[in-house]
Order: sequence, then C-alpha cells, then structure tokens
Amino acid sequence: MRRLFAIPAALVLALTVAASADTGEHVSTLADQRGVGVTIYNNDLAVVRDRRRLTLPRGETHLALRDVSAKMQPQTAVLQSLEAGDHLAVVEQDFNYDLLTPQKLLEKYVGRDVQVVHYPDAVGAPRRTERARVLAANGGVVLRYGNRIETTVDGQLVYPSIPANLRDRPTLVTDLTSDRAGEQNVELDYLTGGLSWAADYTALLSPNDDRLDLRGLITLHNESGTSYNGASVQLVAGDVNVAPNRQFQAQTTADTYSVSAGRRPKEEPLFEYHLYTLPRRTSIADAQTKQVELMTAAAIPATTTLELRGEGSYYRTAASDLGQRLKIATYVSFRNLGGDLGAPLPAGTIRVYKRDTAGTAQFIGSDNIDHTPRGEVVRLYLGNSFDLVANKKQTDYKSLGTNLSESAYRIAITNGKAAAQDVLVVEPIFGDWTIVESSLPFTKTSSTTATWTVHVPANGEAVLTYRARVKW
Amino acid sequence: VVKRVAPLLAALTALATAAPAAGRDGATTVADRRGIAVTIYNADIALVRDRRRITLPAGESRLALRDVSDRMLPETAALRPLGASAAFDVVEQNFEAALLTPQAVLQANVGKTVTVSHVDRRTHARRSERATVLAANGGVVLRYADRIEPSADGPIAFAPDQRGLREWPTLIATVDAPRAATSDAELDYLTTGLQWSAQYTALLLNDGEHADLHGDVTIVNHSGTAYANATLQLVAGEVHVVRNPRSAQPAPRPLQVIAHTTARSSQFDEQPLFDYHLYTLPRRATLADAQSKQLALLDAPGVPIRRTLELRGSGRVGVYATIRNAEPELGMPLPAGSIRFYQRDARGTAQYVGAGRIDHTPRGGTIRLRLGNAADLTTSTKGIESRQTGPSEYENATLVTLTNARPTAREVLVVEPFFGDWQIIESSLPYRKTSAGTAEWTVQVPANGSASLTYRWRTRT
Repeated sequence: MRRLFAIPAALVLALTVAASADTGEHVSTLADQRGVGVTIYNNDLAVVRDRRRLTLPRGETHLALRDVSAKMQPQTAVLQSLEAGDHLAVVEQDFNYDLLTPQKLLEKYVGRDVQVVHYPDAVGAPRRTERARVLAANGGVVLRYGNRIETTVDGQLVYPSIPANLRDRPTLVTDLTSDRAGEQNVELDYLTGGLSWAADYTALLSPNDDRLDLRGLITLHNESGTSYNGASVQLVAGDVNVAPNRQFQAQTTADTYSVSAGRRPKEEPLFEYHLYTLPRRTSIADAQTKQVELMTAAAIPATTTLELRGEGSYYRTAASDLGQRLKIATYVSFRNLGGDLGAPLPAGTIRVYKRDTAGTAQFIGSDNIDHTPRGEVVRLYLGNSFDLVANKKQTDYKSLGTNLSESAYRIAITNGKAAAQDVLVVEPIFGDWTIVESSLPFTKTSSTTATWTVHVPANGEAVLTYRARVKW
Repeated sequence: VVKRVAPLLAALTALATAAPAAGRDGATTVADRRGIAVTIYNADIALVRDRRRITLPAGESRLALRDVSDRMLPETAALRPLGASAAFDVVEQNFEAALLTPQAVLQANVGKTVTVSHVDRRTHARRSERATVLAANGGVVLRYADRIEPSADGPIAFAPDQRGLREWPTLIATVDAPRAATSDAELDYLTTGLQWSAQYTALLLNDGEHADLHGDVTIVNHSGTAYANATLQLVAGEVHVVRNPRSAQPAPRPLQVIAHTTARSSQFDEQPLFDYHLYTLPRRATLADAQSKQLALLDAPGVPIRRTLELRGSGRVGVYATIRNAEPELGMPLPAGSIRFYQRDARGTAQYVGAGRIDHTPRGGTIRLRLGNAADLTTSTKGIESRQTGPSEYENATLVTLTNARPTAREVLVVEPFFGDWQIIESSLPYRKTSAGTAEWTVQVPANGSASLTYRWRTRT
C-alpha cells in the first residue's frame, strides 16, 4: 500500500503545483507527510493527526492541504507549527469539497466562452473549431454561437482552464501567515467520520459446557475515502458523546507515537474510557477492514442455562392457550475476572464454537456484548434449544373484585435429550402479587419476577402448575 | 488458478499485470486446497474450513487468500497453521474491498498521464495524444497540452502497473514465519449464501391410521463459490446470529442447477451438538454455485397418524393430522421444514391432500397440521337466548348443529372460546374445560344425518 503512493506522489505534486500556479496557491500532498496518527472511537469517529513538512514563504500563503479524509469535520481542523516558537497563524480556512466533474465544469462556465470542436463535415475534411458562449447548463446545455443558438453540443467542448475552486479530491484550504520562510514541520489535527472499530471475539466451549477459551480481535473499518499509510493507531473503547458541529480541540500528547514490544495492543485507562495502542505502525487503506489480535484467555469458567421467559401480560385477564412449543433459550455466561481475564472487554460480537465428536469446532451461536469492565458478567444468548420445548396455558381465571384476580397456569416442558436438564422459568408479574399455590418452590427474584427451576428428566416431561393472585 | 474476472474488466486486468506478484506478497488459490469442510445452518449462515498448503518466505510477508466465498464475513476469518510446530504467526488481517473497476482505475490515475486514442468517426483513423486526468468524479476531465476536455472521445490507455486494486474483495493476512517453509494451514470463516431446509412427504395409507413419512433436505448455495469434494455437515436448530449491517451482500443469482436425490434411506449420520443437532454426510459432496442440492434425511414407513375433525368457533369443520414423534416408527429429531400430505385414490395414484410447515420437532414431540376442511360436514352455530341476570352478569345459550352427508358416522371435536370469568351451567353433552378460555365437546354425527349440541353459560365482567 505504501508503495502505491510513494511513486505517483511526485507526479501528483508536479501536476497540482502546475495547475494552481496561476492562483498563487501552495499545495501540500501525501508526499509531504512525515507521519500520521489515528485515534479511532467506536461510534464512527476518529481523530487524525497528520504531520507534514512544508516549505512556506514568509507572509501570507494560500495553502491547499490535499489527501485529507473525505469525511472530515472541517470545523474541527487545527493546523499548527511543530517548530519551536509559533510561526503560523491561520487567517481563514475552508474545507473545499466542490468536486471537479464535467457537469460542475460546465456550470462554472455559464456566461463564459468555450470552444466547440465540430465533427468533420466530410471524410478527410478538417475538424472545425467555433467559439460559443454557455448560456445555461440546467439539465442540458444551451450555447450561443455568433449567428445562432444551439441546445446540443455538436462535437466536443473544449475549455481553456479549470476554475480554481473546483477540486479533484477533498481539500482543506487555509489562508495563513508565517513569520519565517523555509521548511517547517506542521501538524494538521481534525475529527473525521468514516473510521470505526469493534471487537470480534471467538469463544470455544468445552465438551461439558463449563469452560471457555476466548480470543479477541480488533476490527477496524475505513470508509473515509483516504488511506493512512504507516499510521500509529490508537483505539478508544467507551461511549464517547459526540456533539455535532461544535469546535473541538484535538488532543495531542507527546508520547502517542511510542511503540511497545509484542504484537498485542497496549491498554491504558483514558478518562472514563480505555485506550488501546497498536504496537506497530500500520497502513489503513481506503475501503479496508483490518484485524489485529487483542487478547486471548483459556479455560474461563462458564455456565450454560436454559431459560423460558414469560410475558407478564396475562395475569390480569382471562386467557387460554399461552403457546404451544414455546422456545427455550440457551445462554452462556462468564465473569470477566480471574486467569487471563480481568482486562476490560471492548464492545463487539462474540461467536461461540464447540467441538463435535470428530473434534471439529462447529459454530453454535453469536451475540453482541457491551463494553464490559473487569469483574462484570458477560451473558450471551446463543440460540434456542432444539430438544426442549414448553407448552403453556392459563387453566383458570377468577375475578375476585375490582382490580383483583386469581389465575392458574400449567407449564409442561418436554425434553427430547438423553440427559436430564434444568430449565429456569422466569415469569414477570406486575402489581401487588402473591403465588398462592405452586407445585414447585419459587423464588421472588425481584418485585416483578417469579422464578422456578424445573428439572426435566431425559426423554421425559416435567410440569409446573401454580396459581397467582394479583392486585393492581 | 480460477480467474474470476468479469469480461468487462478483462482488458483492464491484462493491463494491471497481476497485482500481488512483486516483493514479499504471495497468494493462495484453490490449487493449494487440501480439503474443505462446510457446516450449514438453517439461518443463512455457514462455517467454512478451508485447508491450504502454503509456501511462505522467512520473516514477514503478505498472503492473499483467494477462492473464498464471495459472501464471507471477513471479521470472522481466522487463518491458523496446522501441525505440531507453528509454521507462522498472523500479525494482522486485512480485507480489501477496493475493487478493480473502470471507475476505480480512472480514480487511481487522477493526476497521472494517460494516452487517449482519438477515433475519427468516419474514417476510423486513430490518433494518440497524451493527457493528464484532472478528475474522475461522475465523468472524466482531461487536460491536453493546449486545452481541457470534459470527456474522453476515445479509449484511454493507462500505465501497466495498477497496484492496490483487486479484481475481487480479498482477504490478506500479514504473516511472520521463522523460516521459509511449505506447510498446511486452515482458514475458517462464516459466510452467508448457504442454507438448508427439510421437506417431508407423508403418504396416508388406506387404513386411515398410518402414513409413510419421507424427509429430504435441500441445500441451496448462493455464495458465489463452488465447494468441490467438501465434507458436508448440517446443523438443525435456532442458532442466534448477529448480523453485521456493514457486510453488504450481493444479490443472489437464480438457481441454475437443481440436483435431485432418489435415495430413500437417510444419507446422514446424526449427533447432538450443544442444544442443536448435527448431521454429517459420511461421503464427500460438491456444492456448485447457484445450485440446489437434495439429499435424503429420513424414511419412516407406517408411522401412526391420528386424523381428527374439529370445529373451532364457527364455520367449517377442519381436518387435522397429528403425528407423534415417538419410537418405534419415528423418535428422531425432525428439523423444521415443509410437509406435504398425499393419499392414494381408487386407482392407486397418490393425490395431494394438504400441506403445511412444521417447526423443529424433538423426540417425543408432536406434529399437528390442519390439512383442509371436511367437505361433507356442515355446521351452524347460533345464540338462542341472552339475558342480563345481575349488575355485571349475563346468561346465554347456544345451539350448534352438525350435518353429515357421508354414509359413515363421524366424530367431531367442538372447541369453543370463552372470555372473562365464565361457567357452563347446562349442557346437552358432557364438556371439558381445557383452559381458562376454552371448553370442548365430542359430538357423534350419524351417517347421512345430523347432531345438535346446546349449552348455557354465565359470564361475569
């Protein structure tokens, strides 16, 4: 990727300097870049610190900074000199995204003269060139020749030059004054969209479903329209509030370009977030997804639970069948503590695998996790059990007065597995409630939740019946 | 080496002289494949394990992994060395989606010098002229030595080396090998574009109490890639899959090949996997792109089937079939899919009598489907009395009449929904309260005759 830009950059520079010679514009491209640092946040936001070496004359300069992100937030751009003593003062800056297209070029020439090269009238005849004025360029073109008006271009349009404010690529244009002439190092800092990152984890569940091996990767996405070559990359994990269209002073710390040993990103706290620094410089090309390893941890204690969750909407009214063959969800949970764990886990997706009898790791489900600090429990919804299903119905309903009723339920859980299973039945109940009768002991796990553990024998069925009285 | 280049791009590719040739960049293609295994799930997701023999130089190098699924989810890809001693480390992985398209080539050449061939429209004579590409946004703007033109009036020739653009989205691993060596590696990834479902046919036998049940699985490959001689596995169950909105997927192509099976008995071995079921095809199979493939899953003759006639609420009497998934005839996990019922007519031709969908059905579960309506049974339900008996108490009476046009007696289950706090106080036939909102009666309807049911109930609101 680096080679791609190293060679043509000289050409680009030569061209653009030539192109803008008439406007007195000073152009800086990737060829001037001496380093780039990128700090990427989770929510489509990044801080870019672009260091360039420029040769500026003393006094006022019209500077065009090319090869910046197409999704830059221009109001956040700050250009400063890195030389001792502040030599630069920005008078005015402006993110120019009026792109040069054939249509834009035509529009800029409305009211001005162009040449039209007509097709030859006969074989071997010379091409005839005629001057015309562009009268309009709205959904077509209207041209006035010396003696007539035409509404199509009979031939090829030829322009003498390109207007200065049309750009082939997104360009940041600033008017600045320098109090000295010659080479100096500058840094352009800005916020941009189009860059984001997330974590992708792979977990391998042990044969007994009681241990997990976890591997985490960082996945970066670049859709910013620009490549960052040999960049030092830092990532911030946390929900950073983004105030749109507000002035932002980009943070610049002296030691952000440090390189540590090893290949894993180094983690450190930053404000209420966590900062990860990639140990080596890397190039992020446009339209690229990049992955680097974040962490690994082996044999993490894990628990698997089966859960049947109710809806709570039926306790105040008469109902009948509450569902045949209700799905029973499977969850795997583990605590971010102990062993190789305990570091904060950035938000992302965990994909869980388990080995089949031949030892092949098979995919068994995936779930998203939020930013998980040390000590917190990660709970993953992996899917629904094939072999355990529940039938549920309201068997009785009595109105006992105003806003007081009693209803009875029967939950039958069947197990098609060759092993007994425990199923957690979770019923949300609202209002002032009591369980007046129950075939199995229940736990009031919160003011609005009753929970039962139902032991379902292998290839068998277990039935839970209970009666609830609700006042509201 | 399979070159998957659209014809339109062929000329450009020829100009772009095989991008990964230079330096320490290598590539692995289908020619290096030592085996491939595919596990397909119900929910448009599949796990591919692709084993390759790769040759790496000592130190760090970039390896392009070609001939993978077009619909690979790149964030799930993992390349790892096989064998006792790790032959390499993966430093980072990149998925490059900057494609070699005419527009991308133009954009990559902004600021560069190209050659435009002007063609005379009448004589077809060509004249070459050097130009600089000024912009390539929604059309090209070219600067010639003496003028600027807003389009190219002839083909543009670019410099032969167009690095950084690829003819296909490509996964590139940066690997670090302690020494130059050839070793086996496995690339695992999840992909969309592969799915499977079950289709069952039940042939109802003349005794009316049994059916021959046959199940096939249909595997559909829309992933844009063929999997030749693959180890094929299927997972039945509802696996939760996180969908990444970023992974834009190409539209599926219409199926071109449909491979049918004539096998009757199961072609798969089944084993439990976590809370799902895993089916393994014991032989290798080839999944061509844009192909639908059918394989036999189960064959169970003489399965007991219960047919019932049910009047639910009012209207027509429904015909229901209930199959218990129990031994000895069945008793195996039945993956979700469609089911079609057939019955032989007097000439022995199997006639279609109904269809439906079944959910994943474990051992010991039941399949219950409404096949259609009974043509020879008609019903009428009417309220014959309604009065208020208290401030919020009402009493009602209903008459249900069933008429049978067949020369055989029929038994009909009448299922009636009730609302609120209710009680049946009188009934001409015994009733069963099956839930807080349902009562049921069994009514015998004589041959070529009719039967009636009257009941009276009280509700409080």
